[in-house]
Amino acid sequence: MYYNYAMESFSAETLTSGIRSIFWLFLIVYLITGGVLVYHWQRYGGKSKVLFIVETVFIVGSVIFALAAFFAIPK
Amino acid sequence: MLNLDPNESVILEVRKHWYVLSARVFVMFILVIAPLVLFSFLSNLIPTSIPLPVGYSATGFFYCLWLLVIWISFFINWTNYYLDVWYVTEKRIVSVDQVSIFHRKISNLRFDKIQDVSIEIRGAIQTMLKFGDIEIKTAAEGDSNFLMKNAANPDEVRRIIFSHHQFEHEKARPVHVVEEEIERPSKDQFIQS
Repeated sequence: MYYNYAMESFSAETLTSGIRSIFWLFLIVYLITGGVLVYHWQRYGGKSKVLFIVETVFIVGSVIFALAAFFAIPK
Repeated sequence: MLNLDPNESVILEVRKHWYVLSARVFVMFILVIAPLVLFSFLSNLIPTSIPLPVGYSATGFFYCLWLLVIWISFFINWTNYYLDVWYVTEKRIVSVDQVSIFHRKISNLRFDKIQDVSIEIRGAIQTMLKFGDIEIKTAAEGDSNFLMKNAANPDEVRRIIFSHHQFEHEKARPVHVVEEEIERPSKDQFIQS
């Protein structure tokens, strides 16, 4: 409704490549933070069953959300 | 990692009450739904400032990233909650103070150094859900008291710590051997026999 079509200066390809860069950058930061968390659980948590369950839930959830983000990148 | 003596085992783990974590989870839940509500309200009111190609939308993508941020911050909070713990063994209390992910303090307290264990339960929520602050006063000088805020079952924790403290105190007490006075035979009695 409010789009000014005359001002369209970004092409879809440019935007998609920018968003893809954001995704990969975010994923790197996420993996480092997630790695720190898993390290803490294994180093300080001992061999607790709770930690095993939490680790599994964290990894599965992260994979699901990351895949959802990847497939949500506009084409 | 907890380093215990060979003949030492953990008899009690004291953590903060789950209410502490649930309050944060509630905030995160609000943060999950907030963008959806805001977007549905604002999308019709404010025109976009970035000239986008027709039909182009990255809302879903950014919302997924937002969910990932909340997901990992939940686990960071959970880690700080779970690793912040007191281990009560037969000999001592090991306090692991997980302030943040990269800030961790570990201190030990032997039962014979304990002077007093006090608990404080404030308000209706703490009373109903059975949690409160536990403070262990020590004989050492300086700021060496042990304090755990919002610990679960403080009454039970105090009872267990006190019973172990009493046991250690009894063990350390010097033993007085009372000798029964035996009537020794006199010299004459001894000769007669």
